[in-house]
Amino acid sequence: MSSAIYREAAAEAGRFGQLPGEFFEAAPDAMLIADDAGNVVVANKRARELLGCAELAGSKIDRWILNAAESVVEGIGFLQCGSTRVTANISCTDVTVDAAKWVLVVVRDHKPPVAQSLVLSQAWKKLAIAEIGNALAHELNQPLAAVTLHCETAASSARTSSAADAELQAELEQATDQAFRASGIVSKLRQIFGTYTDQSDIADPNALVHAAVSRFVAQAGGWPAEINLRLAAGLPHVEVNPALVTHALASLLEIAAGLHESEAGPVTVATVRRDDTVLITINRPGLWLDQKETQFHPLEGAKAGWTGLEFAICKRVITAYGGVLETMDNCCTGDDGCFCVHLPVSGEES
Amino acid sequence: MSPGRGCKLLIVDDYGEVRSLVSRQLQRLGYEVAQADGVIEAQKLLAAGDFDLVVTDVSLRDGNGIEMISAIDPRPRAIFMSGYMQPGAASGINLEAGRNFIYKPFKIRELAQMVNAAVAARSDYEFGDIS
Repeated sequence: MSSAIYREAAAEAGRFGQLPGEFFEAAPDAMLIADDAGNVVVANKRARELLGCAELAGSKIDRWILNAAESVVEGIGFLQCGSTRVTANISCTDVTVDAAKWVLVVVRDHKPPVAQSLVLSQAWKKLAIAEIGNALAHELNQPLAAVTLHCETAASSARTSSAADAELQAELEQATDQAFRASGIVSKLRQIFGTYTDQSDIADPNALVHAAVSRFVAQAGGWPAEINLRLAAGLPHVEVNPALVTHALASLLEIAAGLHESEAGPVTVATVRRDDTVLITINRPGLWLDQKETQFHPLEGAKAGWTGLEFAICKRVITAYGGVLETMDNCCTGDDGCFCVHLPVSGEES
Repeated sequence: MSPGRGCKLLIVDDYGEVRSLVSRQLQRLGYEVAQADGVIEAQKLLAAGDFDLVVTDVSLRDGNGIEMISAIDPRPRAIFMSGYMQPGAASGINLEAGRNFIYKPFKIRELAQMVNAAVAARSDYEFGDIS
């Protein structure tokens, strides 16, 4: 439609603020009339249908002009429709009636309102990865700091004529151990960020467990502990990032297998449906977890050097996909403490 | 006379390797050194004894080292270690690199110089307050 037609339509609409004219109301284009400040005075039927808003009068339209040609400018408009904020490609024409300035807005198309929950969910997942990366980077700095100190001490010892070779060797060996620890953290970074995608997927929870066990065994270079699987059949699928959740489950297995120094007692992994979640439990007799330690820190008997970082990462990954990770003193399987991973059902049955 | 002059230090770091290394090297300089692996243990030690200086990591397993120091009255002298934090004002304490703040990783001699300067500072210079 040419700018002249827009002006005619606006004029035909009446003295803006009054009932719109028939031509304006029935026009095939979605049109709004706003005052100079962007307050919508009237909108036609097509505009109300297109934007999905029964009443647009009184709404505020913010315009972001991208291209101006003659009297018609094109841009993007932001319009508040109730609790929904709508974006739309628009064309605008300035209209002056009786010295009053108005803007006739033709809505070309619009993006459907995005559910706030979806936006928040996506942001939460992205934030989870950023936080995990930050935590790993911070953790990586620790052994690097130790390596620096060991090497400096070793160098100082080497300069001292009275330094014993044994002392120098001990410093260098410890520096090497710390360097290996640092490289292990880099490996974790690669595992997480190398397989990370922004997409969720529908996954069979039992398949996730199998994948986690395989990864755990592969990383351990064998079977560091007996693993019993009690996987329920017919579980519904869950919607997660399979790579990340597999990583989290494998980490929990590693923690469970390593926390208790006794060689007795298998690790038991079980799955069961609980209402609208799938529950995955990881248990080992003698696994003590202080429920008061909600930050998942290791207790007595913890493997030397384990900082609790892995548990924090596991929790972050699982909560990013709407799940819950908790520790229980009395596990549902009846054997001391366990890790309980609740994953929300996707709505599809396996 | 050794730089430590028998002064009492508290080293707070949840990473044991760094904590023990720093403690050992400062002991060699003549300091009497106590260790804590987090806020809770450090608070107990600080309540029980007088320390000339606290050397603490910022990010601890059970809390924040800056907030820990800031909450103590009277505020002890402190040097803060961090692998990521930027110097500046935090929790009412003005962090200055080379004075009361050091990045990780660091050389022990750099930390030692800061420790020596801190314990030698006169009482009218409040270490760690916003200047």
